[in-house]
Amino acid sequence: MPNPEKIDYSKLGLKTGLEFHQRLDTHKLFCKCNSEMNEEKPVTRINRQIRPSKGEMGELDSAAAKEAAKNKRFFYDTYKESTCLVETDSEPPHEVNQEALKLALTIAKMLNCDTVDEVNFMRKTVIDGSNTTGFQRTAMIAQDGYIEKPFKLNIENIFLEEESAGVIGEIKGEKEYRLDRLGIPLVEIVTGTMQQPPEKVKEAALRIGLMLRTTGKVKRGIGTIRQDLNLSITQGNRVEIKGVQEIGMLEEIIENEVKRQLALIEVKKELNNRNTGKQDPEIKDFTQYFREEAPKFIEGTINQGGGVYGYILPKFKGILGKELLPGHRFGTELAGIAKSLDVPGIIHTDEDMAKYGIQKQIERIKTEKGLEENDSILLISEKKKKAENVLKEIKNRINQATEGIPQETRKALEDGYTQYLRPLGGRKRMYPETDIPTIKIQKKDREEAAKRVPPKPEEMKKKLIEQGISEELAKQTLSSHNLFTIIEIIAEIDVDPTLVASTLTSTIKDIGKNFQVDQLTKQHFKEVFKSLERKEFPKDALPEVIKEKTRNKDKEVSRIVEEKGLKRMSNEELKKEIKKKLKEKEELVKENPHRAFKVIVGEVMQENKGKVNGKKVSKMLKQELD
Amino acid sequence: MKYSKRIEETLQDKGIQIRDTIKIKKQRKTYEGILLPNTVMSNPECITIKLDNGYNIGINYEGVEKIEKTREKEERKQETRKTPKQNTSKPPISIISTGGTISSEVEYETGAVQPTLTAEEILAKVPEVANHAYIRNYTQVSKIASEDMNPKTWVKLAETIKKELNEGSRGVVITHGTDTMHYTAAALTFMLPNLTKPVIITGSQRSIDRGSTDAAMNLICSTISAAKSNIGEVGIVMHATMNDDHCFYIRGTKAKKMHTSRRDTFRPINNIPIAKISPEGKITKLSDHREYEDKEVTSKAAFEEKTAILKMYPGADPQIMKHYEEKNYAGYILEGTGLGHVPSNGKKTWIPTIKKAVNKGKVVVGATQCTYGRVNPNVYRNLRRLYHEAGAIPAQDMTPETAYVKLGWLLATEKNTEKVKEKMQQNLSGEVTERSTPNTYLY
Repeated sequence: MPNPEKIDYSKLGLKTGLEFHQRLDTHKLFCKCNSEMNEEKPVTRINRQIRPSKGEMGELDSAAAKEAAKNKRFFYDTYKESTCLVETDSEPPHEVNQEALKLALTIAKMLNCDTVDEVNFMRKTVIDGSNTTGFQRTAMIAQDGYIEKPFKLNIENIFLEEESAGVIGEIKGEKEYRLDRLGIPLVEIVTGTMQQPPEKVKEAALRIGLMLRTTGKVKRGIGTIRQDLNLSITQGNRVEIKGVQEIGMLEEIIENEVKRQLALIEVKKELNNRNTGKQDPEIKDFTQYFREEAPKFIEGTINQGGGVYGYILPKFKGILGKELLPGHRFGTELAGIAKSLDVPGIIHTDEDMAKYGIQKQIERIKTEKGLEENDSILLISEKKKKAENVLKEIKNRINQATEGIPQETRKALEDGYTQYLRPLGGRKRMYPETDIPTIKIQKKDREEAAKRVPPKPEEMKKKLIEQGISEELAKQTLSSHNLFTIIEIIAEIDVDPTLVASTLTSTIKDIGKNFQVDQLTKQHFKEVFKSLERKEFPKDALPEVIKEKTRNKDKEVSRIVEEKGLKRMSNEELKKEIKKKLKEKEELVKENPHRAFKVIVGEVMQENKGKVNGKKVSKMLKQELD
Repeated sequence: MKYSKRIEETLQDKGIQIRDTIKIKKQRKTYEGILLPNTVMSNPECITIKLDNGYNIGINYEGVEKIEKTREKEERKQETRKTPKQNTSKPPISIISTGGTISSEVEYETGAVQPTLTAEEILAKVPEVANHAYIRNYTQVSKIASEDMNPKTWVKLAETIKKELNEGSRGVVITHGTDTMHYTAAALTFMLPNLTKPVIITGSQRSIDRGSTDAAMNLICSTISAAKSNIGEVGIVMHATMNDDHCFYIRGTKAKKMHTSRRDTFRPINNIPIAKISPEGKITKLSDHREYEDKEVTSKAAFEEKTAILKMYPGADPQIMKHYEEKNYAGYILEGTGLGHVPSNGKKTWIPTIKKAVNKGKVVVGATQCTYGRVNPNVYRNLRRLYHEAGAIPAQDMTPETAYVKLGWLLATEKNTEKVKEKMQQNLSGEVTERSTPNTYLY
């Protein structure tokens, strides 16, 4: 996004905090199911209802959200290797995964935290269906740590918890989930508050991500680490932004949120200037205006027993259409509230009514209801009860606008914007998980965790450089998902470290544009490099071998080499090739020996891709010419 | 559970009570939170506190420098539950609670699960029940987990049901722990011999305080069965599948708990369900049943507690039965292998012991641990020795559980031993079926 004026974040009093959710590369937290999420076909689909009881929902959700949650049905797909009765809430949790617990303790030590003496798993109420139990199991593991780079940043808490189920989609407003994700162990890390500009926040996030990767036991790839962002500015309010999938987006999201809050301050000023005061409009039933003629989406709702309901908002012209961010209006905020309650959107008169095809009806409403030029209309086409629910929340939001910015939880969108999710939760409703005994953390456990702490990233980099890898490549290696694959291959297999590092960083990236490299595991890469160590194919053929491997993971490297004809060419064969070329280019050799040399090397290489080594071709050609 | 003695003493010294907010200083750290009681699950040397963020943590008492109270405990607000308004024009039913997971609730702070909910509180949690019936009366006959259920409570329960049905309820819903629910269902079937009204037993595999509880749909379907069905039998109404979409009404004498933790744990054995009940109110008949009739209910509630189930297994020693004989047991269900075998040859043969007991006037019934199928007294020589020579009675296609309940009930209500033996083999209330149809296996 263009950013003409530089924002002075320190003047605005920007404060941020981060929460990381990192999936661990172990089996699931409370059962022995795998956490690979690579199964395509579900075994079966089950359906359930979650019934939030009053006490449990506590302060977490608005009355409207509670209403919306009632009588909802959820669908869950189960998978052969990654789901069992535990994920379907048909069997109590097994004992906690020791490997995950140990890893959490190691991470706690890396981040200089104090571990608790006894771990108590809790049930955190979740009503959106993303946990079949209706709660998420979570435990505090450690507190009060810090990191020193890129600046001293406190680490408040570390939790070990279970990942939720992944959303597949929705059928008629009922959510479908896949259970392969449910129960994967997550380490949550909560930082202290930073008073730093966005680029520094990003640096801190990158650092923590890097430290986690150096354990070698965290999952890699999109979605395996998520960031939540807490943010406030002095004149604004505290907002929590959930689910930033890429650290690269952090700066943009911070900037957009600051701009959004600044624009909302403008909205507040304008509302105060207009003296709109607290609005208490009554909900109006506009259905009659749409009975005779209505666009399809409204007609459909009416036919199903719904209608058109809304508010007349005096002196609101231009407010709902006010742009907070390019393409994101105050009305978009209100639509976000509707969406959070499963209503697809709202219509308001700051929009082009022709877009909906309801100019005539709106004109009639304006005339018959005696609207002033400056008044606005806001509409929802829905079932009555649902519409009323949403409209009440929208009224609250409009009134909050006269006071400033409400505290809320928002959801990060892919375009760097955010959308309303729910009011900011107070103390979350939690109660003990009585199915899991508490776990005592002994001195011995802490000592073992300390022993498992990996070297600092700087030390790792130094070691890579010592092995002959360039400074730049070492840096790339460090931030690569394949860091541990690279380190292990270098340690175990006798191949050029630089070749390993560059292949598993940049070459892989290129291949990844057209091939699914993510499917290849450490073992696959080891197999490829072992074959290279045995000189079963020339190193120039590496990309070809890897590409073929992504197509068929189980195909042995020797077979790939054979089938693709990637075998290194023997000296005699190469000599033959060169002689053939020399004959073809006889004239050129006479006319311009220098150019001919280049052309011949190029063509021999091209025609025998992966089978010959450039240096060797040059050497042999030179011998031939001499 | 209490904390260790030294912790309890320190707390007492400082006038600290459970639920007070306390501050603990240990090494360079200070912890503040609400003091929670020690639970069975945790270590008595660790003080558990609830932090401000809602998480509980344990702090080892070793090395604690200072504990102080920073705030008095707040009186716990009783969650006010609104019992839904009742519509007296709906069919009247009674709810009777006995205990079990369905009426257990977690105490949010401590996490302790206790069978505390009364039938009335359950209704407040599942208000949809009031859409289908008018709850004429709530009664609590016990507050026990299902593993502690006993014949005396069956008798009490049967008498209570009779009273409720004769005083104006069209049907009854009983909330019960699931472990021994099928024993109770069988007991009530025999103890209410002329029943022509729906008596529904239901429970849950996930406690009612959870969002994912199965109790809600089970209660709704049970209420529908009691208020609207034309079935006049004791039945278990619980989840039919893993989905929250319908329940089965399974004959009380033909049900068995088949899974430790699944919602659809109850299955019909050698039978198919009487009906399928949807929580929206639809009742689909699946097999023949006794029809509903508004007739007076009579009871015949008694049980001979000196009745036992003995399991047969390789190496089972007949001394086990001799021990019971010394205690003068009146009747036995032998949970035999296969078609109803007991070890019959060599040193550990049970045949002589059984014969002796029968000759002394005891009733010995052979059932099968196969779960499905019928006992056969003729096919093998050893079967003929047991059922023809030694005088054991085959349990037909009754589960050992149903056979046990039937025998205990017959022994208490029938003076003549020969009559007991005769009735054991007859079908009194749907517990014995004459035809074994293929569709009943693994239903």
